[in-house]
Amino acid sequence: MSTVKVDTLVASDGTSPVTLTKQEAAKAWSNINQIGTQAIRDSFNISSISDTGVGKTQITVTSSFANNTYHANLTLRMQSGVSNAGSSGGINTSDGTTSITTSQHQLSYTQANGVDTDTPYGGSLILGDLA
Amino acid sequence: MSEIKVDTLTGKTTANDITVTVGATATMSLEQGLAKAWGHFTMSSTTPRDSFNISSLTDDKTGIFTADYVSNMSSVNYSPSTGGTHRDAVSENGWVLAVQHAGSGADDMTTGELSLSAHSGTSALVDTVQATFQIFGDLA
Repeated sequence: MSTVKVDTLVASDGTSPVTLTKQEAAKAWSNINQIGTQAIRDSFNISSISDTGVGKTQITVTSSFANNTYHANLTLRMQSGVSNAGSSGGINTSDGTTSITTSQHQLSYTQANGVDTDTPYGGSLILGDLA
Repeated sequence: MSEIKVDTLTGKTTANDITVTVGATATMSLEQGLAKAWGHFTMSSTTPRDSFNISSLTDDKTGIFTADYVSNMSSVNYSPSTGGTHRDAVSENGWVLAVQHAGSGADDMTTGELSLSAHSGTSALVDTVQATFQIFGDLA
């Protein structure tokens, strides 16, 4: 077995992105509590969040994306038999691109019946290319 | 194009800290971007179809499974995402797959496991034929 000990990996031209063979790293993720004053429990590449309404969180990343067509997946949460707040949700957009920018996207959470609601356990996972 | 063939990458200064160029100018921590666990299973079996860093699946009750990690997370504040399934015009079983909580959030998700609950459109617990999840965060 061989081991390389290194602090920084960069493409051989000194500037281009490094290719990870047959895999891709997430570029941002977050664990967010929307109840009361919205707060980040833990995150990566997230500079700030803002409360933009019931069930909604505007997320701003530290390093921006190359375009607004990146992939986003949400954390969904359920308290069986008690509360379904946050059991459904998505990126708040009318057509898949509107309201999504290279630096921001908005989470929108609902109950199972589609009513907007704050969730105690939300967040997103982002895959795509950084600028 | 140059290529390095190696079995293990380790940070020289700090073992889990390798900075990698991922954009025209952007760099990021390689470790932070790697999934720490994932699984693909059906709720009719405690043997996953495929998985990574999962030691076992437990069938807790209808619609609720618990996945245990081989290597634990460093805190309960990691980021889980899930994927349910939907069978067009036939059944909504498992159309929502969520992280199961008995309380208000991260208080009942542990560093060693998490529970997933599958629901129908009426929020009733149901076993789903396909559940997927992925975990990001820091390992202990």
